[in-house]
Amino acid sequence: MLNKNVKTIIKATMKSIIVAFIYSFLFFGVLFICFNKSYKELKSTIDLISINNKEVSSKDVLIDEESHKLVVYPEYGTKYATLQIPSLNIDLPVFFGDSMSILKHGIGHSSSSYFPGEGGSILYMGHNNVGVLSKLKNIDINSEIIVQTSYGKFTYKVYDHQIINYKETDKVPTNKGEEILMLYTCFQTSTFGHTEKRFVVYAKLENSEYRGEE
Amino acid sequence: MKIFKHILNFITLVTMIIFIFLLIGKSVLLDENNIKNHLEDINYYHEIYTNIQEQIENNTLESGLNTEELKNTVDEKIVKSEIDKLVDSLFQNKELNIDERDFQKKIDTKITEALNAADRTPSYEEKKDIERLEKELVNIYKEEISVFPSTVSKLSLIISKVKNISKPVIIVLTVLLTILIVLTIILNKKPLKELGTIFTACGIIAITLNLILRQIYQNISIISKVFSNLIVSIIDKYLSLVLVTGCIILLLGLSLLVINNFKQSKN
Repeated sequence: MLNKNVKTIIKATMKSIIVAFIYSFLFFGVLFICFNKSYKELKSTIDLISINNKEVSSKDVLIDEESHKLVVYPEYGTKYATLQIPSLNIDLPVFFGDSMSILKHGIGHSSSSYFPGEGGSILYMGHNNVGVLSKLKNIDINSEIIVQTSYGKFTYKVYDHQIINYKETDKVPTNKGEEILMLYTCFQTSTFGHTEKRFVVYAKLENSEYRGEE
Repeated sequence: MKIFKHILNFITLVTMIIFIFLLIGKSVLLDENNIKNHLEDINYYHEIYTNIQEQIENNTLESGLNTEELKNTVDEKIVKSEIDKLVDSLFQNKELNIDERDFQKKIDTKITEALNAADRTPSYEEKKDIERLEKELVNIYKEEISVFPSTVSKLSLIISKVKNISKPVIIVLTVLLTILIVLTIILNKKPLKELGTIFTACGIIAITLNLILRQIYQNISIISKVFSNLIVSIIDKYLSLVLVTGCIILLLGLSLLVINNFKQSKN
């Protein structure tokens, strides 16, 4: 008798739970019809201001050698290359990103510019402190600059350097078509304070060796 | 009659869902003291203080000045009170005025000490470079605290409007929900069963919405890491309360169903 009562209670409760689920489906159906477009717009807006780290890795940066485009990008803030200027005894880590906290650790790669091997202009920035780019102002025309990445070694030759104002952003353009490496640092003329002047070195790609070729 | 019963149940269900979401939203998002307590809980004041110090260090590496001494010009208690001013201005629709005078004075003192120690009288260009540095540091201080200074007044207007609307809306929803529940009890032979079904459905919906919404905002990255964490944690708090409420209502619904069916089986 007790078992029969328990079975009846369970059966009746399950029926009501099924009705509750039907009400829920109906609710979500109404929600879908009325707000599906708004939900998609909200989601895409939130995606725009979200960081999805699934496709990036600091260890597995890969380039498609045919299309000259990176397939896997480094994670923002991570080291992905080394910058070497043998004539000045410079050997520095290169990080993806150019925030002030990144520049504390070495060279920052401006995220609006191309990567070595992609055939466009590359902008590397660094402080002009000792241990970073303080010696850069002594660089000569025709000096070699080497960028070593996990996907290849890229050699550039200096063809120009200029002192510019920090507002002259047209002097450090982002262009596709020719691979130019630009090194950008402060040009301090006074002992204290923040200078308006910047020292920019321009170098053209001379040679590229992709890791797959070795 | 049966269709009318189901329609009434569905309307009661929808009203209940809206009521729960609005009530929790009001208590989590529109309560000034709640927000300040939340800032304290997630260590937001200290994070901003640390951020300002870090930014000062990053921006003075090339300045020729002692970065450690400049970092010490920031007072954590003052930073906290300025952030509280921002919260006040958002919720009380007041004008925001970050007081940077104390910070500016300390920066001036440090720079003067550095010049005296180097026995230097700054040239015209050096004075310009020093002014530029001071301006940058004061901007860093103000921007780290106020986060989005240009939109504070717009936001505070929106918050004020929402606060004004939310109270009467919640009162209307409370009255409506009460009427609907009373109608459910009066018009049904088995009111416990109907209420149990409604509460169970409400719990299922609240839990499901919670799970869906949690997928979309976790990776938000806006303005700074600290601010992004704040936004994510506030939404987390809101959805956690929705989840808990949903679970309680679900259990209540199931209990009412079991009680009703137990009574029916006895009869």
